[in-house]
Amino acid sequence: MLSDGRILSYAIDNPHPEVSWGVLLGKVQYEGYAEPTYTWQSSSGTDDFEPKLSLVPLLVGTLKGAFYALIFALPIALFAAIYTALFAHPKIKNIVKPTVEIMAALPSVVIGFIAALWLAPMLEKSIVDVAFMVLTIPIFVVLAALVWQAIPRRFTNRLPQGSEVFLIIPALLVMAYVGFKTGPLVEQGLFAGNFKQWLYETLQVTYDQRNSIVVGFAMGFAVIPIIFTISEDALSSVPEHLTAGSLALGATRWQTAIKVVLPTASPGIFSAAMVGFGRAVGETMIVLMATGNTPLMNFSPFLGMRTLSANIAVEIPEAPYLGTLYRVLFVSGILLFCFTFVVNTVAEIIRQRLRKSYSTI
Amino acid sequence: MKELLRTGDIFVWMTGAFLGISIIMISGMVLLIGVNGVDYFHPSSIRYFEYTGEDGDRAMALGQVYAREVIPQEIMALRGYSDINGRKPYRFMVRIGNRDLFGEDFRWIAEPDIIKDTLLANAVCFERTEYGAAYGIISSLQTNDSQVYDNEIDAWDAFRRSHPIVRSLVRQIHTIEKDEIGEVNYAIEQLRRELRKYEYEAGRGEMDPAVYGGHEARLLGEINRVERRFGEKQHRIDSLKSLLQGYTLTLRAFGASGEETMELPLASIVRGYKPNIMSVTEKVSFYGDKIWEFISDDPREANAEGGVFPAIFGTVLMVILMSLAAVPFGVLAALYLREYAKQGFFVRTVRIAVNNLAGVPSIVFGMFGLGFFVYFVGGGIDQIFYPERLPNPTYGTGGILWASLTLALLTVPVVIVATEEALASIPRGIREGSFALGATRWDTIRRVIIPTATPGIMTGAILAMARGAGEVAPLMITGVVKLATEMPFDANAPFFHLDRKFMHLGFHIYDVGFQTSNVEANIGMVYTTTLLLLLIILLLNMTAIVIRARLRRKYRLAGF
Repeated sequence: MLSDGRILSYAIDNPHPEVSWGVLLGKVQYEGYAEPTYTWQSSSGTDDFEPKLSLVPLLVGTLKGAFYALIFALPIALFAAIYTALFAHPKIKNIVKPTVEIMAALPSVVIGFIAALWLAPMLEKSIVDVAFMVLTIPIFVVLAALVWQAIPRRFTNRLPQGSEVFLIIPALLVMAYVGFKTGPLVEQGLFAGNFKQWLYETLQVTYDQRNSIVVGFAMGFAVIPIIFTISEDALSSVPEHLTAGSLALGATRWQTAIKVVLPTASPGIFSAAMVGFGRAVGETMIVLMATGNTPLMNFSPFLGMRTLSANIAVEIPEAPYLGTLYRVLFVSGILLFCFTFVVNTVAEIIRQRLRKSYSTI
Repeated sequence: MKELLRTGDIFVWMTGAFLGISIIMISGMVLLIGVNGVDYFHPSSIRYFEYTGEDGDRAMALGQVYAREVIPQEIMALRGYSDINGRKPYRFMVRIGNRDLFGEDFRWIAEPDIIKDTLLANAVCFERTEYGAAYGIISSLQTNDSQVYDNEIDAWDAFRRSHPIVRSLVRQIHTIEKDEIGEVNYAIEQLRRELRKYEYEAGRGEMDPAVYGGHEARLLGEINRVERRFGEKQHRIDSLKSLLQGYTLTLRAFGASGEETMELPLASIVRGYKPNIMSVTEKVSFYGDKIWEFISDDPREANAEGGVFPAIFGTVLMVILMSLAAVPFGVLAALYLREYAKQGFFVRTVRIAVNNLAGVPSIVFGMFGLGFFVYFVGGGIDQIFYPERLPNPTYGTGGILWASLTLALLTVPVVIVATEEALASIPRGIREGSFALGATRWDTIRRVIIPTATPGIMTGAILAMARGAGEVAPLMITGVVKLATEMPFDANAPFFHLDRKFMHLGFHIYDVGFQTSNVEANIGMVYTTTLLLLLIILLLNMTAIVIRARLRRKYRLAGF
């Protein structure tokens, strides 16, 4: 009411009252909650339900999944690429590259299925054995190398340089076996025979069967080929006169690799990591299958997550056309799109620059 | 050691180890799927257990052992088990079947509890159309002429004789139900739709009521006639069913509490076998039978048993539709980018954008497909062409057409990149030769460039198909269903029904492995489906790799 006695009326038309940027990205005090929280809970059984549409737990879940995937995939893909590009015998290279291409073609639903129904129960039973196995890899590789050195040159020269991988694979298999056999002893010694219980009692950490480690493994599996291919390309297209010069000056093949090739190709490797990251962020089926899809706000490797992409897959079939949830899901889709688009564009530009600089060296 | 460190060879070994890990991982996974997938068809022997149950009583179980594992520490302590012969005891997951009788499919039996573990020669397994497998020993068989065979051997012989007859009757009924009645239903539906259309138009005053009355009388008469045909078919089914009536098999089943009798109508039995006394040739033919069933039959029991034919069909049709959309577009785009466009900033940007499109998450494509194709285009088509059916959507809901178009968007970058690569690798000499002979640019492209680039384009198309065949996330929201009763292609005109939903191998894996109640029982099925999908994709990829390798060799020679 104004001072001159007139009454002003405003028609408020807000078709989506539950949503603002503050809701999507900030903490909100919801009915029945003790303090403001980030929560995603889009629907429930009752009608007087207040949808909680914070994207933050989903963003956290997305980053968490991608993070664990990269921790696993980056070293494997990178070192494998270094070996393939710089040390391996050309014949090995000719086998490895198509194999990795085929690995890239594995549908993510297959990887997700194996991760959820084979790997997750297996890890739940023997996570300590696996961890122990991973930790003992370097020891076994060193041992294998020493054994190789101890064999007289007469025999070793028969195998051309760059074929170490043929010896390493059996060594790794032996190691896996030994690791699996001794793992239970370690679990007995360190964690009183039951790691999950120990985890809960000492650190108050619960263990989900479908957790971030499983997702890391599985999604890592999906991004390894991408990172491998791009970084292998960058490494093997380093101009030959650089490596030849370095080798001619008496540097060993490792010194050449680390001091000459790697610095030159590093932008390519960075771009490979970015593309891998972009792929891990957008991966849907693996996360959908290998996690519990609970929107959580923590980084524990023993718990699951819900990512933006899986969230879209789960909720959009139920979302009414042009309703609030539908629009929020589209916002999250646009976010995913923009993110991967930026990451991929930057990676592509870096690669193009690198190609140009190779041709000018 | 010093030598190793000084030259850095040890680090070379380390990097080699990582390559080794990746190779082990990939081959291990393929091996895992292969072994488990192939194992699914194997007729493993039926074991008979007597053991001490949890309440201390003697219990019996008859079934196939599905898995074996070392008993976990907690359970060892809880039940007070001790080691056997210096090793940890196992527990067996036994599929006891007879779900209609026992209520559960599986039972865990711990090794220390076992009193007796033998193979019974006359133990038999029946695969049924519902309630999963049945295990037991045959006690008698009754045929439809009320003849009873109550000797186990005679009954088994009689079963082997009469079961094919019963199966063929069941198949006849199935054919009538599915094809003929399906056809009648389709006809009735079409007539009803036509009627509704006239009704709609008359309701809006676009049609003269008298004309409408004429149409109505005609259509109602027609519907009546077709419905009579429906009645005739129903009658034929009933008479066939009465032939099946008498065939019953009585089975001795072994439950936890003792022996029980089970009656199975022969019509519900898909196949019966005695794995314990099968010869090698019998096993091989059984194996072949199962594989054939898997690829040619419809699924049974909520997709957990039977075949995956509709899923194979859906996948193939979807991939073909997708290629029809993606390949021409991709090839034209690549031709423009490579042959016509001026190379510069614009083309470079387009190229980056195309590359990026390949990196955009597939779920985002799916979401776009849902918003644009399904709701916008499909909803629009419904508004214009099928307003009388609203609010029931025709094209405004997920279907094979929209799913294929969505996947076409997803795979078009693959085609563009491969085609561009093929075009770029054509030696300049060939092109210039053509120009020198006086050919125009279009002639050169049509007669020289495209034929030379065809293998490259093929590679792109195959890679796109492989990608499309394995993608699931976008399909889930644009038209895949767990069970499609009607195929998108059938004998009813106009034969292609692109608005229909469809089944897909990849989604089948997700559905059976994650959305059914009894995952343990179905996991064999999931592995086998996975193996099939994997084989299709590996085959496509290997073809592409081989074609590309040949192409490269050819041009290396042509360059000189």
